[in-house]
Amino acid sequence: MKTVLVVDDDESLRMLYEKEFADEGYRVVVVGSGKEALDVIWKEPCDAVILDIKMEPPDGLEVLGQIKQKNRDLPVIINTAYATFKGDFGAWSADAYVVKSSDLTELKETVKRFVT
Amino acid sequence: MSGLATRAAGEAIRLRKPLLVKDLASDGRFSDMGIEEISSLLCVPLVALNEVIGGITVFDKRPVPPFNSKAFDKDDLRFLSVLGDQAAIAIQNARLFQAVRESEGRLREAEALAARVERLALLGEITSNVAHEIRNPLTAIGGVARLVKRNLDPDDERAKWLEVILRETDRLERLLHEQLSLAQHTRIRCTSSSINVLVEETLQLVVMEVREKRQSVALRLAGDLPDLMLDRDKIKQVLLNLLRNAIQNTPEGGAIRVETLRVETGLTVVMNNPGPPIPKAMLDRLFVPFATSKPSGSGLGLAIVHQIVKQHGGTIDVSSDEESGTTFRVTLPISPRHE
Repeated sequence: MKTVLVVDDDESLRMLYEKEFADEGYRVVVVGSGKEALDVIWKEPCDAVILDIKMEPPDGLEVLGQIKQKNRDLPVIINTAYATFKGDFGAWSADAYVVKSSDLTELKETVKRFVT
Repeated sequence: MSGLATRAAGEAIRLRKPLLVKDLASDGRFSDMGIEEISSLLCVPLVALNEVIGGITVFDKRPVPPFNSKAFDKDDLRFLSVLGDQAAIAIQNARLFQAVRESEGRLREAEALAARVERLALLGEITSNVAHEIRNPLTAIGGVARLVKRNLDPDDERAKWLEVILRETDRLERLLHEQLSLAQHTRIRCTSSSINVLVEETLQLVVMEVREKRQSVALRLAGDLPDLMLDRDKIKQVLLNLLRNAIQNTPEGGAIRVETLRVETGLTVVMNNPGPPIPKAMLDRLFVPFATSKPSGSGLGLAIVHQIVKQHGGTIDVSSDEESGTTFRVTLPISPRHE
């Protein structure tokens, strides 16, 4: 069973993603901040990270940088309400960039692409 | 009398020297005028900062005892000269003051405009932040509704109500998307592109409008243009905007000219249309948001065009006059200096 780490500071979205990805057959680990993400990520087996950007520091881009520095092959999917980070140099090391939508199809398919 | 004054002043101004005529009837320069009422005149040119700005002419001295003469003399000349010099300086000062006032006025106008643009930019940012902050809750609301609906029986009546939620959240998401596209300051994403292809693709989009106004588009695309690193969608937005402007401002049956050519730093797209020229005052503010006087359109078009061209490291300029109409020139560099 594949594991997905979800990083988002919004509690409602954490609940939603946890249920949705569990329904998809993943084991889901949810954290509410960049700091927790960095604590947890090397302790648990992880096949993909779904990462929000706008959070209290360390924010998503900082977390992205640190993950990629240690393990370039771990797929990190940016999932954010902001479309503007697409052009941001700091986001270029991400494997995918999905703009948040209430329709999670795109996010699910993107995760599937990297996990299988 | 004014004819006389003009001629006298003309002489004084021409010679840049005061003119003293003791007896008009016997002075060759004025005797032909056959003026009997006046016998003598004095004229001094007004010179300030080496510029002749006019002249003061006086006729017929009032006789003061014990001198019963109406004729001016050298003392009078000297007196009027000094007066004239003072007057010239005063007039020149007044003019300079006026000029300063005017440029102050224009400066204040420019400052007000700059402040307004800054406020709009800030407003754009605020709107953008709010819109983005709305997205999170919207994602949660719609996402949860979808989740619950999926786990219901298809004939469960509650599915219908969840659909109401979904319909509304979808609507809000679309609205956000549109709002954000308008206010967005997204970076450009470039791929190697042929400007000629982009021009032709853009023309396809306006075929109907051109036909409706029975206009024509004369196309002259240079054959030796290199491909450039361009954000295709955004450059097409630029071309479309300029083309639509041209179509709107060209009278029925008019001919629009679109040209691409190689220039030293890269390439230039020229768009020219006949029609009433844009007044100078407007030309200077053409690319400032909301500065257009058109009733239709958001007034943002050319501001966005300017922004996109700048993002590509390019330049855009416009000229407009009676004979040649209006011409926009967009120059894009070969080696990009992107923002």
